[in-house]
Amino acid sequence: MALHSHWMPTGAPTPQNPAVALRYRASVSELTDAQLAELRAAFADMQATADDRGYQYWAGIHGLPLPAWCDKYGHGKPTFLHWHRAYLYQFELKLRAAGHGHDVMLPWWDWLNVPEIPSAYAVTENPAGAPNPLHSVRINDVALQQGARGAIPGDPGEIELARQPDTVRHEGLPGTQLPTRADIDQVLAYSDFQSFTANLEDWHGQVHVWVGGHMSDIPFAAYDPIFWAHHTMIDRIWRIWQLRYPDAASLPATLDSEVMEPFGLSAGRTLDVTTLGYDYASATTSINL
Amino acid sequence: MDRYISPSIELTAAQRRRSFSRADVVFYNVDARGASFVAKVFLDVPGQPPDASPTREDGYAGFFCIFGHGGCFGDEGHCEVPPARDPFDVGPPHGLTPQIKLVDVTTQLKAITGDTVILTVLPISRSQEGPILIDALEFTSLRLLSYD
Repeated sequence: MALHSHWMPTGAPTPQNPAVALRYRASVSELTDAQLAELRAAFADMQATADDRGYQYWAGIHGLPLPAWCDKYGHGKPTFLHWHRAYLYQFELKLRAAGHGHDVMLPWWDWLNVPEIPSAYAVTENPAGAPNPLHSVRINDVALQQGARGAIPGDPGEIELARQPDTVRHEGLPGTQLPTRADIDQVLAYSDFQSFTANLEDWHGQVHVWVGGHMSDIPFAAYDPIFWAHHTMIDRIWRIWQLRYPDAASLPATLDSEVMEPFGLSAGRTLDVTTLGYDYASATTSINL
Repeated sequence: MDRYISPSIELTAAQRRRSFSRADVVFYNVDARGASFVAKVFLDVPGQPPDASPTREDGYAGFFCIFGHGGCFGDEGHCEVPPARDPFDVGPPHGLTPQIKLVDVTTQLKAITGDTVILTVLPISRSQEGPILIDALEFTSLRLLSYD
């Protein structure tokens, strides 16, 4: 599934910034050792930040602590893709700014070619023996306390998750499956946005359930670092669809000015990734002189 | 409910001729307030077990997924969708407004041979022990749509 952009390697021009160089998101499986180390350092710095620039704050926006913003715009809604694009964009800015700053972009988990948790996220320690910040994250007490209130009759899973302060996964849950290339080719074959986003959202959901543990649950999903790689893959597929059908609307016109709270971006502002300063490449390396 | 089996649905003339380019089953007012589940849709095999293989040979037509809200974490009434909106409320609808889900069943509907069809929907829950059905599937109606 190739992405061949017809754009120049610059963001959409503005009077203030006529030619700003784009940044590129790449597959996590294609990161060099140095790039992966930098990504881990950025996640570690963001996880060590306790204020509203930190990981707990940004992971909590998805579900708990309340409010669960994604329910208003992000799931079962025509703005599913727009809300999550805005979410990734803002999270990525905070990730880059964490600590003393990091030259990183969110990588994607290519579950078409890597039908398992990528090793970058699966291993418990980094090569130096320190805990891997991409493996598991401790969830804040407020979110856990609120989660413990969410008892569902007949399903003890919610309470069990709220009792586990560190994110866990149970990948490969029986009865669920990761999408195959044929499945996503079928999704990309829909030339109308409504069919495309509805089917992609369902596959997105099944990946959440396949990973299991906290990822299978809206209130806690974004605390698991694999969340960001999964959603970057979803965002990439939308980008590929947009390039395949450049004349198709990616949004009902009535929703163009709808603000994707709490990110301060309208749905219309999310349509062109180059206005947000990024694009996708299979792999990327650069040299600074 | 932990399984839905439809009454026998009479196919239209065009559907009996299999002269359609696409067919969807649309589920209306699907509840997403509870646990996550994958709802697998089968045609003409009402006795399918939870671990039925997702293959065309076993009648599998497609799925939709509810990435569930996970229960209510607020006070009483927090997750109840108000029956009516304030006429001056210009914000988005309540976040837990029931959803509409669409499953493309084109291939499987063309493969059946009769003039009627029975839909089976199995909501598969998260479980490490194996696929189990969960009492989480709630919707108010469904529609079989086909297009030339």
